[in-house]
Amino acid sequence: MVPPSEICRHFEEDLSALLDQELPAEREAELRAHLDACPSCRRQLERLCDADLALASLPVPGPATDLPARMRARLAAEGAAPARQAAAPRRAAPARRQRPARVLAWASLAASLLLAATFLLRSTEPSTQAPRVARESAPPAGEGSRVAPPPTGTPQEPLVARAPAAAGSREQPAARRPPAPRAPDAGTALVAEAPVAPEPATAPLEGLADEDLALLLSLDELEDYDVVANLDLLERVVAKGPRPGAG
Amino acid sequence: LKQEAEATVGVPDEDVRLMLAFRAGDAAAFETLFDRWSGPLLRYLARMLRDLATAEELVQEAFLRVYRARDRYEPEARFSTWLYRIATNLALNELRRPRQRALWRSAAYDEGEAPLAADAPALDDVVDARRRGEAVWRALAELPEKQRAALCLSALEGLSYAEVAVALEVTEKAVKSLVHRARSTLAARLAGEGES
Repeated sequence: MVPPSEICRHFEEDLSALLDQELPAEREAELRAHLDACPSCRRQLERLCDADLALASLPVPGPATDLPARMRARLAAEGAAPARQAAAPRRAAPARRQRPARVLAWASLAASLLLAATFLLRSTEPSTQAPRVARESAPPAGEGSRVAPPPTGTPQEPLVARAPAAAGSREQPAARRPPAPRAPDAGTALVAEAPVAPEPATAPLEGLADEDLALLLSLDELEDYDVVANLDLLERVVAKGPRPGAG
Repeated sequence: LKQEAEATVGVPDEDVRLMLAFRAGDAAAFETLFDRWSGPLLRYLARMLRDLATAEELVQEAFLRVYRARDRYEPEARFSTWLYRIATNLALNELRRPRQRALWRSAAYDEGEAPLAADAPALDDVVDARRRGEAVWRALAELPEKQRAALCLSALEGLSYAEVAVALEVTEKAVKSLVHRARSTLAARLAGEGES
């Protein structure tokens, strides 16, 4: 007869596999029968389970909000220019340059106000935003799939420039998925589909000095639709703020 | 693309379909993949490295490698398995650096604590929880790197042993052993902490 300790050793690695649902049915039945009769292995199973719980309790902060922007910058360095530059060159941000501290302070104020106002607008009037295609954010619950990453979408520019619609392109509009419902605070989709959103309210921006416009558009945090949706505020900020180069 | 994805991977995998679409020139598919997987990948790498800034760098590096490999991508497994394999290799390389080892040995990890709510637990409970958390980090740090990766991928990220085997480039049998040794070591160390 096999001594009890030998039996326990025989099942040792199976305890973990049981927690991971990796045991074949027959083997699982054998292990369960053993567990019914072995308090020592039951205690060990509890300890292993506790270890998993402890591990899962470790706090891990979510991704930084600028992670997509940093990814975009690295892709741009790879030669994948941001789509906005390709699709709307008129509004493309100018090359960054050295700015005096006062200008940076002005830009920071403008960005803060605009972002706050944008947040409020998004919370209250999501339908007034320029049309964008919301992408499905949750992975499929495929057969056998145990992986279920949470949606991590944040409002940003596209990461990669759209490929031009070449003849024979396999990409068809029908292949696009319908907008998926999103949580109210999930913000807008990362991707603004090409062609870019219409710009019905850009006229007032054109009255701004080129320098002001360039500054606003060169701020990474601002997106076209944010600026468009906040023209009044933007104008007030610009009217009150020091002009770059003035004085 | 969907049929090709199913035919090659054997199960419906939306991510494989997206990757094939990206290979065919659909840039938005890449964005969707980044949107879906940057968070889980960061969580995994942060636990592997205990350094959020480096974990974020490696998330970008992993997706950069996906971007570069798009033309020669062949769906031989789930996209996520491939992605975790890239990330694991990056993490293991990073862990070989002296700086990263030093970070693991120090206890200076910003846990990104949330502000206390009105019904926040008593201070003693907070201190106890923090001490417990630190003990878990320490126990995790002392695991051999492959054991740590196997346990994180299996127990936390939900990969099957077969998927972990692909990610770690070992056999499934080895994964079963790695996961169990990691888990039982962790359990023993945490039990020891609890008794001390």
